[in-house]
Amino acid sequence: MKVARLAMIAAVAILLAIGVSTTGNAFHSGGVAECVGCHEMHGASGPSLLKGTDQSSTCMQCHANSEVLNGGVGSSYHVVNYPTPASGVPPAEMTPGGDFAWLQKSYYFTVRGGANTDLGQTHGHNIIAADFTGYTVDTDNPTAPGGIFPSANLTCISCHNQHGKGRLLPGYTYGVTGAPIVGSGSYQSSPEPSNGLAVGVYRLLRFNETVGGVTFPLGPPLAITNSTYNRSEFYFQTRTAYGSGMSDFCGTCHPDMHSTAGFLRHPQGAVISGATQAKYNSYVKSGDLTGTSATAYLSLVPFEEGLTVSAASNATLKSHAVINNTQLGGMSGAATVMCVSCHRSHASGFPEMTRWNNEGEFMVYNGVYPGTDTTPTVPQFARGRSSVETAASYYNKPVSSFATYQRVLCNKCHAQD
Amino acid sequence: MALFLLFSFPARANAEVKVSHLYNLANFEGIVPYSWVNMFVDKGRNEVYVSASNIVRIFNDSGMEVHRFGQDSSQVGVIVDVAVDESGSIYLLSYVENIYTVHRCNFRGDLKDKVSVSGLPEELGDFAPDRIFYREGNLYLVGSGQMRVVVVGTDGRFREWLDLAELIEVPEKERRDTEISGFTMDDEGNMLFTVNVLFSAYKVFPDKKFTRFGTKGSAPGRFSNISGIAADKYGHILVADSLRSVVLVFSKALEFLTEFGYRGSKPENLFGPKRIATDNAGRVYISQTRELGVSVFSVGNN
Repeated sequence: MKVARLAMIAAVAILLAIGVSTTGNAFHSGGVAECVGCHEMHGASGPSLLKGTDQSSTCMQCHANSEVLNGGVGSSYHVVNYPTPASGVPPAEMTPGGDFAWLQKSYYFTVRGGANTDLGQTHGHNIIAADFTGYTVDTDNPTAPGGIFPSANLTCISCHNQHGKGRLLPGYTYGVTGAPIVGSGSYQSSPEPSNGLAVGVYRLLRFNETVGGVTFPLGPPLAITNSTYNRSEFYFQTRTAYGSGMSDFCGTCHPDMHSTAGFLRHPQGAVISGATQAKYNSYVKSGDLTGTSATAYLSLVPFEEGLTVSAASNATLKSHAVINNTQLGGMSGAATVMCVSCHRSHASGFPEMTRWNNEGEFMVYNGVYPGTDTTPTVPQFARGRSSVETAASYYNKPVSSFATYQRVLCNKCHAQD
Repeated sequence: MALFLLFSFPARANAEVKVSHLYNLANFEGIVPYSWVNMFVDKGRNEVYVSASNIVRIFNDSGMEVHRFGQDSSQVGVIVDVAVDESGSIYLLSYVENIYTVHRCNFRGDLKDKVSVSGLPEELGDFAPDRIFYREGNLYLVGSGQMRVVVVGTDGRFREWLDLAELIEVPEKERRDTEISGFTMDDEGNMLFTVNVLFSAYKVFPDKKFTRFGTKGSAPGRFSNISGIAADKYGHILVADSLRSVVLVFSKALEFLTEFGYRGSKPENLFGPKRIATDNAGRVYISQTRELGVSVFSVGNN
């Protein structure tokens, strides 16, 4: 009994020493949540005794949100604005991954007399959630573009391990066992793995397992984000600090989309050349290459810092994952281009879930964000969106931070404008 | 009697409470396919106001749409909630980007004027409400994410405010991720609200004292992912649990009495119930997902 009491005291002391929150609102806490949160032991209606009709429906009961983004900041666990906002009104959530509600925003518009369609299902990953109207299988792509994963099987848990088994162990190796998970490892405020305790991998992402015929890489992406990341970037940018491995993760389902070499496909997961890094660092806006590496970071074009998992890497990434513009350092060293340099991982306001509109040459026109209300004479830039929707797609960054006629952000790295 | 209970209560009945499904809010085209909408009941007239896609529809006490009005978003922005005072004036809470406004309309929904909120203390400079309630000459503006309630007169002048996060001792750094999931005011002036991440419901009395109730879990009477909350004319407190797809009924003394709904294809079933409102006739209005509309139940004492 005395030994047990001492063990309890020691455990509490360790928890206090590493600063673990003991409040009740961290449902996943970097690992498997309480079982009855999602499963009903007696009387479930979904598969696997789920409370929802299916996997994503179960997730979205908590992760969907019907409220407005209060004061430009939302709860971090909301990733779907539901019900879908009305025509002309953008989805509210502004997490780095993007709001899945963009999948429901289709646009129909006329350019030079020709009818055009911009279907919502091209705006992101079409997760299937029967309890949420509109969240159905992608009708264009029977499998993941560039891969074999069936679109009919795409759910939240295709990418995220709902049980959060993955963990970063003391010694900075990954595993699915070896030490208990003490909390999330995704945030700048997360504890470090130590004293026999592990932390969860970034966003509970899958690794080293085969799901639906595809096999994830041996290690998960290394990244850290700020715990207040669902927010407007009108005043300050949200910097998610990426280390490495994101492209390999995406490549699990999209192996043929891009490559690390060759001329026919844009490289991903590749260290960016010094010349391109110099362009990124000097690029301010169209026609302005007077920037410096100290202030070059742009959250619309993030990059990996080329760091592999270690205590030092975690410390660096945590120091960069800020929301107050104090860490705007640009590319250096092994800076790496990744899939999410150009795409959002959940959904975006634009086709192919890109972070900016690649369907027209201007993302800012005549000093305003294109919209059916602001630029009606050049509908090819708004593409059916209201100016508010366009602005929200850019997370409400002030239009004044761009050129009066700002070209698309491929130019952040390529500086052709 | 046993047979009656079987049909009246899809599951887990309590003899003290009689629950039956009445209908869904509809118009002459059929059930209005709402999902997770906010509702407001004008208890003086037992009319239900539902706002979605910048169109406010009004339903009578038979659940039929009797009037609707839409507002040009270029004039009022995006309507997020509606309240009505005893004279029939309608208050619209709306947003243009991140700036909120309260507009006053006549009973037909014609814009009359703007209620300019003034005199807010400095610490409320970033206040951003998403719900509005009217009670006894005051407007209650609720910022769910900020966990704050601001009371202003119908002229917009600041009266008082209440920090619900501070009241229930939520650490400041956890305020944003805690948030209010459901909020209402009962006929006695008590504030009722839920916090789903704390698996708890709260009743705040006019003297600012409060009581908490609820236990997490998936068994009957437990909270899984709660949101809407309301009090009915019998003093019952009803709480929606979207994940368990039930509405739980508690007594005025906060004892669990029964729950109803559950997923399924029968009219009395519910999918992801989110918001609740009550009228003076014992009817309970419940919004749900899947575009299944607003289900109306009778919840009464046996």
